[in-house]
Amino acid sequence: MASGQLLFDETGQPFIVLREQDRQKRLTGTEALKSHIIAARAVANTVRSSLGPRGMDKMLVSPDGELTITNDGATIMEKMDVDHHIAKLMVELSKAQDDEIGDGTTGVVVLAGALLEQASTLLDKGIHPTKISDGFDLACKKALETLDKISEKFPINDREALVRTAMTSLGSKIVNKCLRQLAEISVDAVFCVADREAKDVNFELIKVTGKIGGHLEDTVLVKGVIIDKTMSHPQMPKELKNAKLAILTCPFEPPKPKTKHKLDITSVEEFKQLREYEKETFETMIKQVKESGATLAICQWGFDDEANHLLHHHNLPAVRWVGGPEIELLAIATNGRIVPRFSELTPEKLGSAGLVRELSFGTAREKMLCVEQCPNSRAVTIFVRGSNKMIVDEAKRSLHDAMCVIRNLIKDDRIVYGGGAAETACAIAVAAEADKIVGIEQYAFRAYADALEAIPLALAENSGLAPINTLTELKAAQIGQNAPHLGIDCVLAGTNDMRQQGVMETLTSKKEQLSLATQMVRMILKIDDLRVPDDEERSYPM
Amino acid sequence: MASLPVRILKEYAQEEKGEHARMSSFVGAIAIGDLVKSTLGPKGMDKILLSGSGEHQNVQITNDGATILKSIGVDNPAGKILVDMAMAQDSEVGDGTTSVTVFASELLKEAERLVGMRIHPQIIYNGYRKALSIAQQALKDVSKESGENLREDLLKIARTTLSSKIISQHKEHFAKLVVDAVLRLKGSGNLEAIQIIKKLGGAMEDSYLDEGFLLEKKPGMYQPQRIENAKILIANTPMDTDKVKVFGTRVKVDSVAKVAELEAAEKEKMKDKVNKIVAHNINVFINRQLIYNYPEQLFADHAIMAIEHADFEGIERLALVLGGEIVSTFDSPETVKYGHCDLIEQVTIGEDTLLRFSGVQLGEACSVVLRGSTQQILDEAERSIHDALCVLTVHVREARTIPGAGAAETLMASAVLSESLKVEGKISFAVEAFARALIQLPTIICDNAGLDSAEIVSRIRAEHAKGNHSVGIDIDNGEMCNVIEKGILESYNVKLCMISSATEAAEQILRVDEIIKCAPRPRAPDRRPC
Repeated sequence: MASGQLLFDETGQPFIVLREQDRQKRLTGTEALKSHIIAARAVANTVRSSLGPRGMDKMLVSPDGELTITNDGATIMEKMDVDHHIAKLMVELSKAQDDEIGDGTTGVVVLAGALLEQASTLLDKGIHPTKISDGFDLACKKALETLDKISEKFPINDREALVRTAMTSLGSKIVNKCLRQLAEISVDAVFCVADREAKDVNFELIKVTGKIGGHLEDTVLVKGVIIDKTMSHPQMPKELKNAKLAILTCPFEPPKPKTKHKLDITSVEEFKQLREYEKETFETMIKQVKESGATLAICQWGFDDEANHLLHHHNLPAVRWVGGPEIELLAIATNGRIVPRFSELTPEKLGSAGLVRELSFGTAREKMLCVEQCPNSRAVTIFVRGSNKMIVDEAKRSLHDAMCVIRNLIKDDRIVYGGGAAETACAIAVAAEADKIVGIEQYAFRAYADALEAIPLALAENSGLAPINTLTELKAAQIGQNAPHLGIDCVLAGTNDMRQQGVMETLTSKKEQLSLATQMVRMILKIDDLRVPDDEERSYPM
Repeated sequence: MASLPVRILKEYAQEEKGEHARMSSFVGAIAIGDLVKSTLGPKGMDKILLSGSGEHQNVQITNDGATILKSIGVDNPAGKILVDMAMAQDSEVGDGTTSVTVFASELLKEAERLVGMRIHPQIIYNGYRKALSIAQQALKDVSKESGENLREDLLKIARTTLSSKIISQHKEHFAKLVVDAVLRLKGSGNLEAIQIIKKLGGAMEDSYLDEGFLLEKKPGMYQPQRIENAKILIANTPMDTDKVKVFGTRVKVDSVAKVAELEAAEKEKMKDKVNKIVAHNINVFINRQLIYNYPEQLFADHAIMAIEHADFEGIERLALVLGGEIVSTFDSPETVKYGHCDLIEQVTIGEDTLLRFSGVQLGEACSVVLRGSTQQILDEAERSIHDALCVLTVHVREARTIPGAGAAETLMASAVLSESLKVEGKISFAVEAFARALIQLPTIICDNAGLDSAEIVSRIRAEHAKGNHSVGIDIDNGEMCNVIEKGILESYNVKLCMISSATEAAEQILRVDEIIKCAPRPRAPDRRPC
């Protein structure tokens, strides 16, 4: 394999260009490309069956035996434990889409797979990879233009329409049992925290927590914060009305100077003094909190037993060990300030909440603290219930996706129609453009159009329709009526008018899908040499 | 051209696709169902679970579905879903863990048949969903508010629940016991307040509900062993050495004499503390933490009963029962809420001595003392009592009853079946299959009792079709009977939770078309000495 690398100088002495040839495996040229394409397509085929409202789920068992059941492309790819380098690129691809857009993670992988499949045929024809990749690039530009052209303005203030968009995103997940409810929850949640001026949504303000038990129908949106904590003293009141919250990041403990120090007790007097001091600090702490007018202390740290009792004794309910993010959320929701020192506690810095109560669940006596009716409704919590851990996790992921869709709409209110309608429209436009291209890129151009059709094909296939028939009918209808809103009727609703079915996707998401997939394919096509260590113990995939 | 197969996943990772994945899920789930199937119903059998080896060997005998599933260690992913679901059922409503597992596996068994008929899983679970809503409605229609005769209904439900457990021969006794315990909670549903104390020895019918509160502790030496009209201070404070808590302190002295002085000062501090406690004018002091000999002796001098090391739950429960406040500082005796009880005395159960607090103010908490001849019986009895308590508290929250002994299942099945005839399309097969899976539950109960299941179930079904919705299995006489007259009732919530979770789990498994198992994490060999 390494023969080509052994060179000879003028005097006939051999010299080595690359070190340790024999310890490396190598693939070059078309061989490397083909191997990469096979790997990438294998990954794409895995998630292909998850596409669309009728897609199936995947069950993933982690190295420690943990179980995940999901339909979310990004999650599947992430947990698949992929070893092949090109397959890893595909994982990155879906992750990129997830980070950027949050939805359409399956579609992007399927599209990349289809593009590579087309590239493989072109390679067999003897077309150079760079030509293919250039052609794809041009075609992608054309497709993006088409998307812009067919995009429509979305009535962003129409709640009903938004709910329907969220329903499109949630429709493909197991949670579609209570589709409408969850869609409404995600729309309301996003709208609570959305900054309409800046056209942005801060997801940090939406907390999604779950608790196993109950049913999916019990999932609720709480305009406030839920923390997985209880009152520090079992006898503190379980419900507080019109609470004033002191949000503290200092422990109810004797102060600890940050610098290293030692305090030596050398005599009985000192011992007594320290005892006095200790007692005093506790009392002043409580006094300060009490004097500020607080009726509930939220503390990031722990309390000493004595402090705990003193708090209870002074009728000051308290919660300890509240985590950092929750503290911030609480501060935002209640309009309070986070106070790092007792001495800085003033009435203005207190947060307020209309109702603070402990929720208890099931028979196992699990409790959570719920802070509601806050002055600032911009921090919300979605509380997911479900009959087992897998459902709760999947519901959380699905809600996240749906909220991403709504957020994208707020950012950019242009939409295209789903159900493969946008892809088909692009495919038609790209195919029409192909014949006008001078040069070999024409082939790549045409191939791109074919690849775009992979999405409606997969949708039709997953929905149990005859893929080729359905697609041809669809294309004919789109061209005939010049209607880019016709798509695949996945849910067998009897019409393929996506506008009527309310199946929409955001323009940004679709554009991102196309450009990310094209970029990735171009990158793979550029690789013509592959070296991996030839190790007996740990076999590297080729 | 690369002729080698391209490997994408890590070494040793496994991938099962399509039919194979589905098969492996079905097989796993059905296996789990079959495992617990024989424990279903009043005549169900128990399982022995062995764990550990040698001296640590632990034997459990149980017919509680959740306990069995928890202990078996499942490897099959679909099986794990069922186990997880049973656990959720256990924590949510406490009982029905076996039924939920069996029902889910029956649903999958039916699904397997439908898949064999070339019906797509999507259609199957859509059918199941439809059927579920019909069943839920039917269940709701037949359920009755308990209203006035809550206690009667609770007794009946307790009897039904307990009849499938090891303590069924004394179910009358235990049913009364758990109902009394739950009613004392006054609807708070806080099961922590009910303490179950297991004592080896005696017969099972010697178990009783103690109105007072039992604490497995002893008062200190030379302290009064029996106190009437107790005024109790419940505390959580260190009574061993009271450290200086200011950070970074340490004792550094230059002579032995100083050490002695400091020791004296420490002793002084402790004495101060005890004096302060004594100043509360109490005669019983209960602490969560240790009490050292010195303070113990001081308490003895003041004729105060001091009880040390009551654990955290114990303290909370005590505070609840006695109506006292848990105290950690002792400077303001006038504002502290004390606990009260009429009598504290030592009682002997078996060969152990316990402290009994009777005549307590708030009668919320109570203790259930279980007696039995072996540890295994005691454990199983505890689980059964726990299940019954859970069911009853759930029932107290939403007091709706439904007929038991297979009547509810048959009723739902017949409702689903008659609706399925009106459903158009392939989905109707799935709706019908759901009804078949439901009817399997009474069938299995009959089978386990050695009855002619086909005969009895079909007769019951016929009665239900005639609109006679209170007919169920008479397990003792091997025929059908009117369960309402026989007083076999179940809680609506438990059954509702059972069918919904099972359907949800079945749907989840049905939706899977590919299983990817990552390579197990390599573990370093365990070389620790055993």
